[in-house]
Amino acid sequence: MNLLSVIAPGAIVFALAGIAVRIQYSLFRGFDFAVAFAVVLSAESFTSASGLFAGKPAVGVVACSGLGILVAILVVVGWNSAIHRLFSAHSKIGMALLVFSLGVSTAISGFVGLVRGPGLRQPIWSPNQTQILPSSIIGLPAIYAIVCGGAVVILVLLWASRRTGLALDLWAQNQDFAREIGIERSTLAPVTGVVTGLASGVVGCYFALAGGSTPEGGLSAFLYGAGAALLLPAPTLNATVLGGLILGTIYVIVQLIFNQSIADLILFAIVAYLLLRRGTSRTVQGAR
Amino acid sequence: MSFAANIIVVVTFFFACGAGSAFLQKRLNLTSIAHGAVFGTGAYVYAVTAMASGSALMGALAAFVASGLAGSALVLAAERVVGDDYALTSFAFQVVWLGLIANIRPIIGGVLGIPNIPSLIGNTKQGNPVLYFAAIGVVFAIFVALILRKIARSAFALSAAVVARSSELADTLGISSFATHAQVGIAYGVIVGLSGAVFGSFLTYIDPTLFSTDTSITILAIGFFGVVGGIRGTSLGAIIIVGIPELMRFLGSSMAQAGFAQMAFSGIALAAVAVWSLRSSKNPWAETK
Repeated sequence: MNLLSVIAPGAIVFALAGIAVRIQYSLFRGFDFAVAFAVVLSAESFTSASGLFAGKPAVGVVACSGLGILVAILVVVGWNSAIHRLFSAHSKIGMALLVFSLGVSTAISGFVGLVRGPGLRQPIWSPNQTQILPSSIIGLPAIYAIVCGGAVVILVLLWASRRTGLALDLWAQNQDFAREIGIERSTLAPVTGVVTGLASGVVGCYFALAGGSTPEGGLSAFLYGAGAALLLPAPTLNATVLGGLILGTIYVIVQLIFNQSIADLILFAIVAYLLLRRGTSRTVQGAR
Repeated sequence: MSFAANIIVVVTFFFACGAGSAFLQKRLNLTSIAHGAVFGTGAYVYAVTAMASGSALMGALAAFVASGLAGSALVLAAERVVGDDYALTSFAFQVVWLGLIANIRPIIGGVLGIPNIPSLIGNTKQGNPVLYFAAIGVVFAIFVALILRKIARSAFALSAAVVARSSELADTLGISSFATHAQVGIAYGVIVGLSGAVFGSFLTYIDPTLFSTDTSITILAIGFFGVVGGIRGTSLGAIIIVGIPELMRFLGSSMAQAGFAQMAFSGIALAAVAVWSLRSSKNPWAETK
């Protein structure tokens, strides 16, 4: 039970980060670091707002989480709209999007660091000490990830089988055909922004609750998500969630046995291996 | 005087790294986020070899070889992945490299790093060592600029341009894609790795935080200045992104504030270059409808 309460939050957080990265990838056909800064801003909002709820952790978690998620949703919806307008003349924007979003993410981390100073900032409560169930070690962060994160994962999977989710899937597979039946990036951008923002927001709030927020924390979330999105070859949300759950479980177990740095090392060795094995160069794919 | 010399040292070595990054971008159209790993490889190999052999020259030679190998390994990944997949792969390499460096305690000290690294200029009794390093930095930066200019005007640059555009066309013309990638990688690795070696020798102390993802992004941003504006652009990029935060530090800002300012400047530069690239006729990345 206790081991499960340690592994499950990690696995769910990886799945959520994977969902966010996969949706942005499907929309823009490129890796988008918007996930990174949405996580940072959500975590910082959560931590800052926690000061208003000293002594009321239960109410505080709900209110601060709502604020954090709202901030992430607004940021990603605005970002998707801006990217669509900025790059509307181009159908393939992968590299430019990666560099642009990496730049914006780095600049936001820099400005956040300049405004609030370096290091970890934790919510005003001592979250890891807050036990909900007597005689168990399940703390508030684990409960939050399992209940809130799990609910969001299920909601997103349900959304993926509905009209907009299917439209995004078609858009990701064949843009020309999608356009022929009236699906445009401009109509998908706001809805996908809400879903990405929701997933990133929950990840940010979990980060804030579990270990505190740092200006650079978003990059880790993005890389966890990229790993989850790439682990299984099928480019669908279901595969991404499964990839996230598998990768998250491996990550937490390695972290428990060794440390976070070795867990990162193994995780990104897997990501690099997967990318190199699949290959995208013309030489590997034999395209002419 | 020491303050100014210190800024010159940092700016000149980051200029050289930025020029290496721009070289990679211009010749093979590769955007790497693992510059910190190559920079760090040079610094670590220099430190370990110089301390073990007692000779700074041996350290520099070992750094030369190791960073050339590291650079070519990094660039040869482009034989399999290109575009944003290459950038993400290099990012993963950077994190793996950092994880390795932070967890190997014997010889390289893990997260504690390596102290008391022998200086390249020895124990100078006369004059300020910072001034010597400033002079070395200026000479090294000029040397790198001249070498890269010579390469840009050579037949090799044309071969690399063909490989970057189409490996099939390169095959047809008898140009080896593998050899070209390896050669560009060696040149890039030597420039960036040697900068790291001399920088480590200047600091006399290195640890993994000096070669983090932030360092890679800083070098990448300076490199983009070089892609847009050549050598002058690289110089301007190094002054803005590294020189101004260093100046802030000497004017009383904390190390952390200077670091965050550097992150903010790097980020703004990257975003601006991405927007410029899509609007420019020289855009290497986007395919229009």
